[in-house]
Amino acid sequence: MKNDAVAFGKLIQDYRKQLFSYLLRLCGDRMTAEDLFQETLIKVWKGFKSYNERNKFSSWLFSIAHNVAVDSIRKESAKNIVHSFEDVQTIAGDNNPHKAFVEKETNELVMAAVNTLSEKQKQVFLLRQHSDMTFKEISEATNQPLNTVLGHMHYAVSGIRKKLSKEYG
Amino acid sequence: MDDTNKKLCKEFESEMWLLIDHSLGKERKKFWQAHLVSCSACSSLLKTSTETIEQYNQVPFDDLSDGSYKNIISTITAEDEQSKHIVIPIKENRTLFEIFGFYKLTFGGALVAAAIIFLFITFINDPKIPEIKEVLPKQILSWNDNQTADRLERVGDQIYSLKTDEWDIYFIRKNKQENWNKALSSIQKQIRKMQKEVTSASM
Repeated sequence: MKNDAVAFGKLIQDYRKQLFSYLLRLCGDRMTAEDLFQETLIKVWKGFKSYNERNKFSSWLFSIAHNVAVDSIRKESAKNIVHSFEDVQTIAGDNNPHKAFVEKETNELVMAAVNTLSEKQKQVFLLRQHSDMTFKEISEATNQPLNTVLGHMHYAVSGIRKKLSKEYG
Repeated sequence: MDDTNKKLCKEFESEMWLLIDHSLGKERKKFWQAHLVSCSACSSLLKTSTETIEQYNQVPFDDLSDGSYKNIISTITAEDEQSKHIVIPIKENRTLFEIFGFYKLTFGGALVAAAIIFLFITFINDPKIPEIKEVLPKQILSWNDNQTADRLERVGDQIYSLKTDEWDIYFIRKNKQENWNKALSSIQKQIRKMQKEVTSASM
């Protein structure tokens, strides 16, 4: 049992940052993201029996995370809770202060552009960027036709690009 | 740009992602590669989209603290361990269902019922059960009033006399046989006598 817990910790460790970032960027609040992270891992831990080893673990993990996050967002929007997305980290890891400042600003702009996307566009875009899921897998995870998913991705990326080009002039 | 090309470019907006994903078939991939050579709008779209994606990927991942992560993992695995060792307290006045369980009790009940039916059938239909005696002893008969006792005695006598009659019939039949034999032998004697008389007369 203790060995299982250690192995589980190690397995999740590989996806820890991608998963947490995905949840944080989707919901926009650190506390909520930590709760969603825990809820996702509880479902993964309890659902190991139902996991089909022929499927990619990351796809299964992110499908669960997606469902958990979407449920939470739906509940919060029903309560009219709006997050500011200020918790999303945009600080660059560079030692050069000037370069770090520029990178931070760029990152902030990118994240601000992502936050302007519609909920569906953001879900598809973030799933694609944070997990190793193919568009077919995303269409299954989000219960949307493949063409709809591809359309969301196109509008998400062009939306970010337009926003960034506006900012840069 | 003509209408056919416009339609193709619109199609490319979606299929571009499958091309990036390497999920297109060989033929389709070749088709789009050829289109990209001839269409500057689509090749520009592919370039800018890839750049935007790369720009997003430059944003470092967020992370939770190691303490929070360890806490979450230990909470999840500990919760599961606790749920596997739940001890159900034993009540003092437990029902039979609680002690034996529903299925065990039902099965046991069915077995007992089957045993009772088997015993009942075996003893009721037993051919070895002794027949009621025809002649009852007077001591037994005396328990009731005299009238009943007399009637029963008379019935007893009738049964006995019936048996006696059977014996009489037997003797009559036996006698009849003897008489018949005697009659036959006297007839035979008479015939022999007549034969002798006939032979003596002829001589």
